[in-house]
Amino acid sequence: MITLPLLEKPQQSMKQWRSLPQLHEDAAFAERMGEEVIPAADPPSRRQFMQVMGASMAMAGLVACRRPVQKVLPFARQPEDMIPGIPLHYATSMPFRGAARPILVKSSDGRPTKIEGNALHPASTGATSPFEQAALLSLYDPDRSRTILQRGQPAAWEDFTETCAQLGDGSRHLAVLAAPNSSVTLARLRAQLADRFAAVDWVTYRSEGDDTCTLGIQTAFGQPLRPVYDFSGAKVVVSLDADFLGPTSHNFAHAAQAFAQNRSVDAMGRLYVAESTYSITGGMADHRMRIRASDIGALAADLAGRLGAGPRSAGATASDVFIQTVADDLRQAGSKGIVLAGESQPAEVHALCAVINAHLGSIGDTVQLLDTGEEQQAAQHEAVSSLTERMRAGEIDAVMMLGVNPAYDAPTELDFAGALASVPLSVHVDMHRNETARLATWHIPATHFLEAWGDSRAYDGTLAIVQPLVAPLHENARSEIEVLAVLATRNTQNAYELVRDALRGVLPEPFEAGWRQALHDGFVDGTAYPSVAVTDATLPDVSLSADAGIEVVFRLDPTVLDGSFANNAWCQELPDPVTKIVWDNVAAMSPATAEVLGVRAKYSKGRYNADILTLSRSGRSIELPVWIVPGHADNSITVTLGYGREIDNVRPERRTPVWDTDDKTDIYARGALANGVGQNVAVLRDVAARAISTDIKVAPSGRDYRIVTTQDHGVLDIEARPLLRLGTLEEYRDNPHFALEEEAPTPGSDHKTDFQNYPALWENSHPADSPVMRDSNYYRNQWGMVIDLNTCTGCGTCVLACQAENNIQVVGKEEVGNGRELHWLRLDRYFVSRTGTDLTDDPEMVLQPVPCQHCENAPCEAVCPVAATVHSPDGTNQMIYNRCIGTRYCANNCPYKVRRFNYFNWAKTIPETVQMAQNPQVTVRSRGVMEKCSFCVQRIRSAQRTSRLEDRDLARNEVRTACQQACPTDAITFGDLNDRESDVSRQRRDPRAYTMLAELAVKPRVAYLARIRNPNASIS
Amino acid sequence: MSQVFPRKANTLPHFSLIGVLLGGLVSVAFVWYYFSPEYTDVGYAPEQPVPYSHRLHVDQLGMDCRYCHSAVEVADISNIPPTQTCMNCHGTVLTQSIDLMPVHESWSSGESVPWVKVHSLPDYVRFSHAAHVSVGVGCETCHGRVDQMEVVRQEEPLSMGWCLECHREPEQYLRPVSEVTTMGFMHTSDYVSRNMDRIAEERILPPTTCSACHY
Repeated sequence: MITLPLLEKPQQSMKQWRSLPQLHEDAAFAERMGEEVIPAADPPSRRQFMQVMGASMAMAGLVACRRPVQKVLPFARQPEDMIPGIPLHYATSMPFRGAARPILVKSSDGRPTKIEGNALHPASTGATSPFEQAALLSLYDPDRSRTILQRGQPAAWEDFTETCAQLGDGSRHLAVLAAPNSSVTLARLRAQLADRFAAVDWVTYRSEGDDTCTLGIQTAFGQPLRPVYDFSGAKVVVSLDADFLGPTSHNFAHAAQAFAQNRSVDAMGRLYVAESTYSITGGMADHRMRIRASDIGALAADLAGRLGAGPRSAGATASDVFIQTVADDLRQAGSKGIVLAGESQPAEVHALCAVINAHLGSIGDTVQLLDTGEEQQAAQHEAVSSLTERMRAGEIDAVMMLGVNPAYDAPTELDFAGALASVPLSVHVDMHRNETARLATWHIPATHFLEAWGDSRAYDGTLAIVQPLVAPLHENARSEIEVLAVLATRNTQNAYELVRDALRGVLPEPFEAGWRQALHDGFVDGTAYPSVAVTDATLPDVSLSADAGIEVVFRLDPTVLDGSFANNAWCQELPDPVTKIVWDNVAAMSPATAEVLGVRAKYSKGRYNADILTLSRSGRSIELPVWIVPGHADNSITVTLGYGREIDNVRPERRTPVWDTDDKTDIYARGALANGVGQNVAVLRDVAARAISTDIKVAPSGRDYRIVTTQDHGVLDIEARPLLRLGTLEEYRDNPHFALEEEAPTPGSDHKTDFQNYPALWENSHPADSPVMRDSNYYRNQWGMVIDLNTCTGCGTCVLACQAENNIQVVGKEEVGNGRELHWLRLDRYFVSRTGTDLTDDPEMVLQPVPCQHCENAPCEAVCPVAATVHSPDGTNQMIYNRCIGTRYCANNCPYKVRRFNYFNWAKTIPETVQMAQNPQVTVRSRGVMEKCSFCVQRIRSAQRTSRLEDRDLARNEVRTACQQACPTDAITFGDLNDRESDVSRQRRDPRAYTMLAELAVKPRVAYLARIRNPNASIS
Repeated sequence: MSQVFPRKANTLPHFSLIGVLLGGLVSVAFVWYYFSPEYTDVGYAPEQPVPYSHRLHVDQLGMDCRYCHSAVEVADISNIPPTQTCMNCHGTVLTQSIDLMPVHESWSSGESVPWVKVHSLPDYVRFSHAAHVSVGVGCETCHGRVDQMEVVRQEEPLSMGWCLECHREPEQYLRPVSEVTTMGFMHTSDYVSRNMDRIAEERILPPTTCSACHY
């Protein structure tokens, strides 16, 4: 047994912790520390055990009886360029919140199996967000609507077209409620509708409410311009509740990339964040102030006053030092300063930010305003409420709902359902038979964007064709433009022709060449919106809230958005970046507020039971479990939209023999996944659907609810061995190697950073240098990875990219609660507090991705009785599934707790459509098998084979892992450590590089670069 | 008291001991032989929807393997040809044949001909035809004399031990790349030393590590 050299705490000034029970040194927590699995609450009874074993034996006997006959089905006519077994890639775009996200989709023998960013596209450069990754699974969602319904009864498409033909006689009044959409084709059809209807009301409907950003810019400059922030060149960025690095952000990939450049230690900018809840942008901040969302207006006004961009507000506030420092810093930065407000903020605050930016001179420099060609907008809530009024008054003859779900998320006071009942004809087009589908007279199943032609504009306006990769999985599904075309032209038209017609004259001539080029590239060059110069900005009236009571802030959920990703198992199981909660939404609040309300999340034996809070507003109430988030503003509660869905079950019940116990763990068995997960908080919003409410009453209900969070999973005694290294820019300049100073002495080594040196034990004869390893073509590449904690925001894209690439199964809330989630890459969230202050008030937050560390002296390998986990000549540690007998010794011996075990037969019960999402290059694991990060060995081997066939060496940086490819900030670098000039070698020589638990001398192949902050000396 | 068991019962323990030992040996031998792919898989020759004869097409008509299995040099899998490939000739030859009905039906309907898979590797193995063909592993080496088969049958066990025979001693099996599709190929007398030279020159080092094929 090795006794670990425990460190004397090197940094008494800092404390790293993951959860409140850990911080408070809860006895129950210490007991559980370091155990990877939480014991089940209801262990199987003897009877169940016998049942399972008996069934298994019987099945084992039966299975061996006959040889399965497999069929090979070649094409009758093989499409050109398609070679069975060789995947093809197509450029397309994903419409997301009204803008296109450029993507490249891999098609394996006709099935889309992986989504990557489109590296050619100026606004993406190859990065994605978790939503693009998860969109793949949405395509194969087994709960997608399959039949056209007329008043709940199956109907034919012809019935619908006939109804539409009768409708368009020029005398009717049509209303269209559509999600934000930038499609040129849709705009053209919209114009054509005017010919067939007496009047057309087109209302853009966003579930989160008003587009306050655009409205704010409109107030300031008189035009609804679209701001694009260049964070890469900014010296000072001030975010007022703006989570611009969060995956729901409109311009996510571009913002994340630009901000990552801003974090370069050679030219580091400074980020100030004032926000109510902890966001991942707050985690990246150099200075963060927690403040109620409703007080941010006052803060913005104060800031404007101090900068001379507005009237000075009277009186010093508690945050005086903060604001003054920010103002001084901004003044110094001048045009290299950016102030931006978040989506929860009202339009005035956005306008105020625009005024400040104009005052600083940043507009035209670090802030571009794009002219989207839109006319003046009215606030959405006015348009929606006037529409419902007219619907109720019987003025509307027909209403079309395209990709919206107002019955679920419109403010209850509007009584949208009642208004819909007074419209004779309502058509709902969506991928699910959801809350609105049940109320509409017609429901048309919508296609997924990978199934239908379309077009869309990226956030910067660059036009892209949405190119399908497969025919619709369900034959009745139609795209939104196809349904609209029936109304606009009376004819059923093919979306392909519709899009081509609409783009004639838009694409460069000659049309065919332009079309093909656009399809190939995934975008049309030079179609970005023009940047406009603005003159004077109008100072808005900011109504300062005097209310100091408890506010409730509604936000889009970072994993399920507004509920459109709620039925996506990957999204539900992706832990929230901050709370790490899966499969639920909560009322997040600060420790102080929880104390005032008398609620808490009780911790016992690895489980959290959170008190339930009743939130009520004018007679409506919901019950939401509380969650305590350190660093949350006091007197503020954050809730997220998108939960509490009710989607109709469209699948026939799966019938299995009585002895088949795998049904017990089938997460798809009980109808739509989203049903019964969390609560719908949208019902509490006021009639304007404002993001901030101050008139919601909160009271503890006296009951509690089990919340599953992964925040303690794989936790180590980090106080003795800090896994996270962070310092300030000043500390870094004094001693660039500060990260290594924190390391405990490695036995027999003196901080050897060169990976080729082994500890004394193996100095002369390490197994990795044995002849059998040397005499392999793989030996010349030694793979390694470096993760830069300075640019990693913790958005979670890597986790889903890994899940999609490596066929990682979803296990459901219960099993995640038992510590049995299968994510190969976990994102550890740490709070870091300075001692001497209240530890839970203002901690810093850092997220650390932890894949398998591919130790050169891997402890897992030594304990496997069947050599199922072994080292490859290229220096990676590999799991050989067919050898694994499931002893789990390896997981026990893993110091990093990165091994995952298949306790159940997850792959067996996934629906047929979800099976189509599996990557054919990677084994689908069965029950009883250990699995873990393989450094995407399938990509390595495939690149090696290709280079050999092409008779060349592997190119430098040719192999990219799934997590690296998806990362929007390029925080992950992978490559050959034998090549001194490869990216990964250069990164590994960075003075900030360190390895986790180096004192164990396991020699991890994954290194981390320490986080650097750039605090302002004026704020101590 | 008289004895319960007769005296000759004393031999029973000896017999049962021998019986157990023999029984053990027999069951080991049983499993060893009958559970191995050499017994279970070799000789598998399922009936196909079309009685396609490799003997006729390859041996008598002299077609190259790659005319139909065209992806073998570039892809991991060696494809079963699309109906189109059959129709290149059978659009004019034997258009009325009853045996060829499924092919013609497939051509007119667009549905696949449901060929039955003969050579099947477990799902946890990654095998690349292209990687093998490009260094001179002949079709015949793994698939046998396909040119002599009326119905395709599995000739080799395709077990891991069998793979490793060649991966450990490639010089015993390789042939010149130009002869990959030759059936009934005769090695020259000095082929082992020629192969050794090629292996050294082209660095043909077949991997024997687990993660080369299992991931």
